Amino acid sequence: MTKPCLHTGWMIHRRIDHDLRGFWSAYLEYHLSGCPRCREALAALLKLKADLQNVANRETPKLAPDRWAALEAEWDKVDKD
Amino acid sequence: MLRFATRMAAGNADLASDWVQDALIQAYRSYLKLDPEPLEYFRAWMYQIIRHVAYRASGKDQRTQNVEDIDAVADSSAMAPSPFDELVGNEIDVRIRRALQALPETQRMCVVLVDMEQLDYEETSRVMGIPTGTVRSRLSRGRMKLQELLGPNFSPHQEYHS
Ligand SMILES: [Zn+2]
Repeated sequence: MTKPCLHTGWMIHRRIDHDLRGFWSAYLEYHLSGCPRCREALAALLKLKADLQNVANRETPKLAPDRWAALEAEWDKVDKD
Repeated sequence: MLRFATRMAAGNADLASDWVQDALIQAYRSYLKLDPEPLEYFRAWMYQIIRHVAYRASGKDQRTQNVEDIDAVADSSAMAPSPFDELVGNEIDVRIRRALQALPETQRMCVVLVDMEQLDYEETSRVMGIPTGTVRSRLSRGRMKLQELLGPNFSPHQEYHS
């Protein structure tokens, strides 16, 4: 596991969540261009996030048909009111 | 939402669907009271209600347990098969889910909500009832811990057939 530089850790996490903007975003891009360690840490975190999304996408809870029907009826009720 | 509820229901999708129904009814009642907040933060609000319903149903009283307490308690289910293990037999998925189970509850919830359910920090903060700064720190700690648990050479594609 590659740890990013101490001062850029929080920026890397916010960057992979599309939550880093302005000065800090510009600074991180500048830092990444010269820091292989942070580039590696960023790539590993991006991959972890993608893996987690893939796992979530494959998780479709199995539900008995009558449960689905009950759920849909509930939605219908909310829709109509 | 049902997926999130199922995770909270330890894999019991039928129980989860009851919770989703309860949450829906509860949400609709609040909506009728013309609480303006729900519509503005609809998704966060629905997840939050599910979380409350799930906690109430499983007998966990949130009021007596603050975030620090929850994190301090080592998860007794650590590394045990997670609720979804039997759902999909994929070895990689199983490894990732077990690693998730090993995280302290607040870290796991932040990772699940942000990385799996794709909520943003603000929404997660509302669902969890903790400040966004805390969401960010628990999330980054959770991710680092996951990387540690999954090991340096973890790669689903390489390990698929091993
Ligand atoms: Zn660096």
